[in-house]
Amino acid sequence: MENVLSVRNIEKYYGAKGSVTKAVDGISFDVAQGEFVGIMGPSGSGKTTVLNCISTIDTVTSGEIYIDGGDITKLKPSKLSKFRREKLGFIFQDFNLLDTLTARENIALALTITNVHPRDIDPRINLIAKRLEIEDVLEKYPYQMSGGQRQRVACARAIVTDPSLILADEPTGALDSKSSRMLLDCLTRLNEEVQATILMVTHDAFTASYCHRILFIKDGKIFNELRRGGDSRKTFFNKIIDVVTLLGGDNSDVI
Amino acid sequence: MLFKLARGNVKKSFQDYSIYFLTLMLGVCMFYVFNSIEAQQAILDLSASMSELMQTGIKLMGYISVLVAVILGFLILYANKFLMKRRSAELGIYLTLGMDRTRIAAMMAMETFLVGLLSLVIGLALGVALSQAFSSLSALLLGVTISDFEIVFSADALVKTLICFAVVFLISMIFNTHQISRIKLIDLLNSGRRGETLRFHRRWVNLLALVIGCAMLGTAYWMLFDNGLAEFDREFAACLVIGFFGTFVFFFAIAGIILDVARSCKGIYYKKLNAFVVRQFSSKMNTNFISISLVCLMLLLSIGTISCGLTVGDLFTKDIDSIAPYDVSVMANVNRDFDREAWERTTFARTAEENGFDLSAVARDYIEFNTYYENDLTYEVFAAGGLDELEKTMAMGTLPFMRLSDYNHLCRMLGMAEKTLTGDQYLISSNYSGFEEMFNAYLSAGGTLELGGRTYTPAQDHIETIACYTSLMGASGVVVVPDDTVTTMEFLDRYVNLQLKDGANSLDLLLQEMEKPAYESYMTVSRQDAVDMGYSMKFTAVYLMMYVGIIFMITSAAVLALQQLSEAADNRRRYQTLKRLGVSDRMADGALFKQVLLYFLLPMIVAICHAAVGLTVINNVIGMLGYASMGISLAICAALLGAIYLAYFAATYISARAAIRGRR
Repeated sequence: MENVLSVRNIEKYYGAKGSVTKAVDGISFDVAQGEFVGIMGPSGSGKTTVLNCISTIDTVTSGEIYIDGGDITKLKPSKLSKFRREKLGFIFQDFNLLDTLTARENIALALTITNVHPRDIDPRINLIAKRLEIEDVLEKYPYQMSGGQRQRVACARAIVTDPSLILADEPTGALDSKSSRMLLDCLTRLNEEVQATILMVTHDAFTASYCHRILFIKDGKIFNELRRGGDSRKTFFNKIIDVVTLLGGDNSDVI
Repeated sequence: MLFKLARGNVKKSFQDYSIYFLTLMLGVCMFYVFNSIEAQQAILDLSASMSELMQTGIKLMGYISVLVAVILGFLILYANKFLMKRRSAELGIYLTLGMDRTRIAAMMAMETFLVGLLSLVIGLALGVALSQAFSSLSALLLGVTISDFEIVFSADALVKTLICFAVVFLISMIFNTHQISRIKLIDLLNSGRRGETLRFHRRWVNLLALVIGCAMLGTAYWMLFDNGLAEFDREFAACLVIGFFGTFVFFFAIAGIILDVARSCKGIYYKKLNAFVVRQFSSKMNTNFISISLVCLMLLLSIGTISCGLTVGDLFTKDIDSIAPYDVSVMANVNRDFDREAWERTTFARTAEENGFDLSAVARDYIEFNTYYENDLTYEVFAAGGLDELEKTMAMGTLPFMRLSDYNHLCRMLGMAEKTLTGDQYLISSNYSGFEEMFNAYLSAGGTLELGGRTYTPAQDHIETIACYTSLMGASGVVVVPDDTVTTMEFLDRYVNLQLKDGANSLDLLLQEMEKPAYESYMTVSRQDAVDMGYSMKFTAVYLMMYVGIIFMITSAAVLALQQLSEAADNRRRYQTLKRLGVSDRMADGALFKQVLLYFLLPMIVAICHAAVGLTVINNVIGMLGYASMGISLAICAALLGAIYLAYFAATYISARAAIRGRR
């Protein structure tokens, strides 16, 4: 299957001469069309930096990142916003919905900035809202919704433009377990029904267990890779826990 | 240490302080300029009487300055509150680090002091520079020249400015300290993420309010046209009240209506960031509709006072030629139990001759004449009712008569056509506008006068407008009758009108002569007096209204600016989200520009609508009196107010843009 994302040996250094911190130290991986990939790692491992580099919010020190075959590290700054709004969809930990806009308008915004014809906007929103079960909150403001609803609206905003790649940064971080499960079910459905390609960063094993494949990062390097294959989610979850323990994740920091 | 921190903070957050700085600077500048007017006299060619007359205006300016200081004080408190809110997270960090409240208050005080000092210095420098330009304006207003051009510096104004702003600072410091002692740490740290609840009114409520608001404004406009400023009666008061509340109702509804209209135009609403801009604008309008209405009314006052000030100022000087046609008028009132023979014998010319003063040495032409009265005839004979209180009081004055031959002498003196009366006819000459309508109505109706048992009919259906003496306010009017009519009448007043020779000192010579005790019963009014009076009143009116207008402008623009910037933290979050979604910097800046522009534009548009109606009515009144239109006034007004408004708009946009880009 064709690769949507290819990361080739990227490095990201912070700091000046003398005291250089290698946040990302030579990471390479591919994400194929229709895959649901997770990135896990303890805090400070560099997982968010990787995501930021892929999302063009940050720049790499060296290496290449190909999305749909184009190298985004070579893009001019003026092309970056255009690239972001056309190729990527974002889901953030704190939703990042605009509080002055209704859910419908929040979703519409992703379309209006890519110059979709106004006539086509409402039908597309209705379609996606049905899929994510947020039809009844479309005319509400974010403050009138629950956390789970907000995150699903954010999800709808990310998916409505049919992006090549959806980037999710700790999407369940601010949700209770019930809402988390609902959101993850939604993401799984999107992945299965419309073949959305999703790259999700998380440090939560339960959230990660919804992925097809998980990359474990430690100290800026890929430490391990886990494929779900034919496993049930429970088996996969246990496998993840094992790696996390080995990795010395958040839990082992206490020791 | 505290000082270092304070200095660093000011440097770092100068963007935050920009509106505060601009307001304070403009305030100081205007305060200095208008208080330094007294000092300008030093370089203006002013007569002694003029300087004296100007004192009234200068005194008034002082009183207004107190009011201005109070307004600016409130504005600074408002700006302070905004700054505190803006930096609450920072203050929260200081508190968590264990800095005590007094130290924080001291640091804040030091910061505001630094910014205050800077704006005071720059404001004063600007004020000194601007007051030079104002001395040219003063010269123009006063109709004099600048004697020798030098830099005017008013220590008095400086001291006043310093004291005033020191007091304002002190109050704002006390206020700040009080605020800091009251805040809770948890609120400070959480202030970045408060759940905004925005509630729009229901659609039918909005529609109803819009209809009511427009109806109220329409009624107020109509009442104003109907009243035409003719009388300041109940209708006029009602018009103001309805207009006032109508504005509030209008702004209550307009945010929701604009949103509804925009949303129904999907083609435009769903284009680029339009939806976002409209939402940003309408949510801000919705929460702040009361202050926006007040801003709109202040803008109206500002436009009104400045444009009217210039026009009304002209009124005081426009009719100098008609109320003061003679270089000098000398007059004496007849004592009611006087000696008729002595009166007839001691004419002004004879008194001068007896004192060895040669009138023909100073005057190229002069006329001496008497006015007469018949029984207890007053102006009321012409009144068919319909006079207001002031006019009623004035109409109680004794009605003067004069001989046709004297009148024609005046006509010759002024180069006007002479009049003839055939048989028992009369005519009225008056240049007091308050009576004009009354006289004309009486004359055109063919109203007659009973004098000495004979009936006199009007020679023409309208009044003549020749003043029979030079005065400061205009002559109420005199009835001109055939020469022999007055023989049965009693003496009222004596007038001597002189046209002086073009010599530098003929006026001085005459005035000097009049000092002698022999002329005790005579009063002298020169054209120069009327000119001085007119110009000094014009000067006072223009400056006062300009002062008030500019301050109102600064206030309203500053309030709008602060309201836009008070949500900078929220805006930053919103715009960062937009950028992550792939909105380019240019697009985001464009959206912000539109948002700020709309916010500044809407109250201005409404204010201009109000002002257009009001000024049209005022112009009608002034135009009716035969004065020039207010085109030039409006142009000056627009330039002046536009500059201030634009400065605030630019400062707001730049400051807001810096805020959404975040500090690096």
